[in-house]
Amino acid sequence: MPTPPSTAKTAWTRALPCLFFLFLCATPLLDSLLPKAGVIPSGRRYNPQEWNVTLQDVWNGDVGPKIEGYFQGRSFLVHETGAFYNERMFALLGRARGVHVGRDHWLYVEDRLLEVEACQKEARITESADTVETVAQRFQESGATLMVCLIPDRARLSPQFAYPDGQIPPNRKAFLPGVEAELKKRGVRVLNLSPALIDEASRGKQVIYAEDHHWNYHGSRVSAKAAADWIRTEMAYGPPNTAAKPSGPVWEERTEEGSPRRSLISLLKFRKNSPLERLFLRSQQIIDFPPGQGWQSMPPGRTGSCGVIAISSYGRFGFAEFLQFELGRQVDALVETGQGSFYPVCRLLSEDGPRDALGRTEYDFVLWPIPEYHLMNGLREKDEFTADVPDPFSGPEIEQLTPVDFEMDGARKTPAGWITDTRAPEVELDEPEEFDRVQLRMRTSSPSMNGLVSLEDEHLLLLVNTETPVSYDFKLDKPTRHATLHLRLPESGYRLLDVEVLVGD
Amino acid sequence: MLFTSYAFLFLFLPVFFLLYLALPAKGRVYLIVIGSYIFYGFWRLDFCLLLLGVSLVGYLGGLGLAAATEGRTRRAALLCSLTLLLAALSWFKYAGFLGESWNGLADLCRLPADLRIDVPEIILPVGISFFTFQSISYVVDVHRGMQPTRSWVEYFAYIALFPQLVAGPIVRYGDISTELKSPVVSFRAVEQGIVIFMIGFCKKVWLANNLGPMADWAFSLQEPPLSIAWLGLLSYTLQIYFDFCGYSDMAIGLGLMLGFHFPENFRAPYRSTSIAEFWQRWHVTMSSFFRDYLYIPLGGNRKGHLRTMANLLVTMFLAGLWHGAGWTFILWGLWHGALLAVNRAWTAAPRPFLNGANPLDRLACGALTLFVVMLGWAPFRAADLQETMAMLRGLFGGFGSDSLALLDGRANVLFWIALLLGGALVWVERRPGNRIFQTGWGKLGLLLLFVGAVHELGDQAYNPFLYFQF
Repeated sequence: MPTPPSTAKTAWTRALPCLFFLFLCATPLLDSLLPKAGVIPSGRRYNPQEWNVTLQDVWNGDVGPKIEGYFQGRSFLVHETGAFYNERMFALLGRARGVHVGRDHWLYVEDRLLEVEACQKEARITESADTVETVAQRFQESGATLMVCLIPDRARLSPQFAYPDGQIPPNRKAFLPGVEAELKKRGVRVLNLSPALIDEASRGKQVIYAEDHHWNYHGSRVSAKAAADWIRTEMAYGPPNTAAKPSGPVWEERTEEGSPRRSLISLLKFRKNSPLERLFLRSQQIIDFPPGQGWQSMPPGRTGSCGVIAISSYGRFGFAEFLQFELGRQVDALVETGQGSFYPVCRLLSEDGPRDALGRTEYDFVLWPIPEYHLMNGLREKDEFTADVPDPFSGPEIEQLTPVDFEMDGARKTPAGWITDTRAPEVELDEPEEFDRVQLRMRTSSPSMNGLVSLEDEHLLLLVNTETPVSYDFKLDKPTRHATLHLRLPESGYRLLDVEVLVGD
Repeated sequence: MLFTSYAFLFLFLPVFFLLYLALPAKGRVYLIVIGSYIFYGFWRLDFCLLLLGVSLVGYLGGLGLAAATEGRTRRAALLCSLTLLLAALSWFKYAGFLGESWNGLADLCRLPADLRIDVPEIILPVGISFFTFQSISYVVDVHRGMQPTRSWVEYFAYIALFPQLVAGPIVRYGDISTELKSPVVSFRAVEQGIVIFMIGFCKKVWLANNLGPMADWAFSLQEPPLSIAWLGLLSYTLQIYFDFCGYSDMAIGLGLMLGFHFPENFRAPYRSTSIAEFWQRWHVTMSSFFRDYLYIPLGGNRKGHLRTMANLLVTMFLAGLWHGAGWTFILWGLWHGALLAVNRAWTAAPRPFLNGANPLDRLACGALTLFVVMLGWAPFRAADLQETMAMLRGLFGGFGSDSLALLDGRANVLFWIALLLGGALVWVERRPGNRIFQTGWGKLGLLLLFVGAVHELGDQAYNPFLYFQF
């Protein structure tokens, strides 16, 4: 039995219980009183929950989470732990990026608010512009015009909420216009979406999710309209579509509890889909597109499309559908989530080029919307993504490659292709002649996560669910007769189809 | 309700405790019953009916045993009570498992499809194993001669007493029968209770919750390499200790605040030098329950070596099954049963080494004990036998020995601190409320740690106590 070693009374005998219960009792009181007294700015609190416990909740077991949510949602203490503490402690410990709660109660990723050094700003502008220019040239060679849309950060749209003094730091403010000017100077067609979105936000409309950095459906539609007007002018298309909605099937608007994206909520460490997380999500407008009109049914290569959109997760909120509607013409969409902005254009170039061997549609334009924070990272320097994408314009095409016979360790050959038995299959190359270029060509049909293909120190992202074979090209430092290709897969059981290994010099 | 939830800390506990203080000693037991049912009903109100039913069976069983004078009638009353209690436990805890096992067997033997059964989807009521065992211990003790209580409120308070309701310690009626009649609250006991509660809270939040993600990740790998497997297993070894020990400390502390002295549940178990000693230090109230109500009635060690070993295996098999309806828990129980049997055989024989004769030998005994206990945690933590085998294979290098670089940012500073501090604590900790926290500075430091832990809690994902699932 945990008998105390001493039964003697000390000053703490009374003080400790008093302090303990003072802490427990004072916290809910402070939660109520401090905001009323104006001690805590209202912007430092978020998502107070209503007391909406019903008899049904009492019976079906929801009363506990609801009371807990009520406390957590209203609590200054919880705010302190969720945001303030997150900002200070976790940034210090490297456990999560800092999240700043703005005066509008919304969440901002702290490192996107920071001022940048002047020289750093110029370097980042140049780096991003170099990449965009290269991509533009490649599309130009194929006969399509690259059109770039710059998507501003939330902080740029509402600096009055994001920054203590309501002002964006000078270099930070000049960054996006700097990219725009640099691209224009290089002859790249570019549209800065900031004016359109700022104009809409200034009217009190919500254009970005409260708990997420992505634009919402409304912001997506505003941007699509601005982009459509611009494309129509640039491409000399016909007059704008003035109909409020298409004459055929229309999209349906509804509200749903919770943002469809949760990246910032995740930073606050709530387990995804947990009752706690759900309590912190707000009602959001959702738009359902009828079958056949969603981006998943708008893949590149359809007949009759005038353009294609290569877009990151921003494409999930109806951007392609809205653009098609506003433009009054069919467009295709390649939407790649979670891989940054550079990946979709690379994939478009490597797999679904505007002029492909199957004689698919020639596009007039390729629209590439790029969020500001991807540009801040130099587009190709991706802190957030684990591997480089196959870079289709990193050098001259590999020529005179010779297919070689190979065996794959950790995978078995079946009539339908190779099936991996481990997470690290290997292909050992042992050739009579020296080679310094290796190309692995294959497609995969595994409905799973991407993997890695590695040769020596070079790593390429292994793409899954590719309809046509993808080439993974490697250049060795010096000619050799022996090399090993390593595949790193999240799990076994990947199907590798039409696998070819080619070497050359 | 979790002890580590805001609703408990900032609503339930202050309100309950203030009312408790305001009531006269005789009236407190009524408040305990009401408060405990609110505490339990916080999860699901309908489960309160189960708690009520189990309490009623135990209470009436006790009265029936007291009323029966003949041996046969007493046995019938005992049998009736135990059958009802075990039936409730079996239905809620084991019906699904038995159904799935039968279907698995039917598939294996390719039996006709109509022999398969529809497995019922039953939600496991939190803490059912604990309060059912308390009821069982009560009726058995009454059968053995303990005077039963005639006060329904005292009995219901005993079963439902919220500090120990959902995860123990398993308290026997005799331990707290006097205190139930008239719980006395003193400043000194409240202070000590708060100290022990805060220690437990910090163990859970600062140590167990920061170690958990690493263990979860390591066990989720299909092919854990050597270093990751051991790091994951070590994390889990410490996590389960600080999680469960933390909960027990909180329960003991809350009990002291209310005027109850609960038995100690952990006595630095990882410092044991034999597996038999481990079970005298780990989850003491459960192991003593199995000893007194199963092992000894089976014959204990009084019927020869072979029978003793069989008794150990049966007891630990059921202890494993008590923890969960799954083959992994059965495997864990049998592993410990086998270890106890081997230990018994070893200690009965002349031992040239591993006899604890000198400090170096004791160190070797301790290391060996910790090693086998840790191996046992592999099936205990794994989701299924396949995951168990993967982890065991990984522990012995079956999936290579990749470096810790694979961790790739999963281990943050708090994890390493928890690992090192936790590792040190299991060696130096003696009991809750130990000397360092009896000083003024110690208490102030502990209070700050507690406030920090409440802050930390707000940022952590929902982390229920591991032992709630049992």
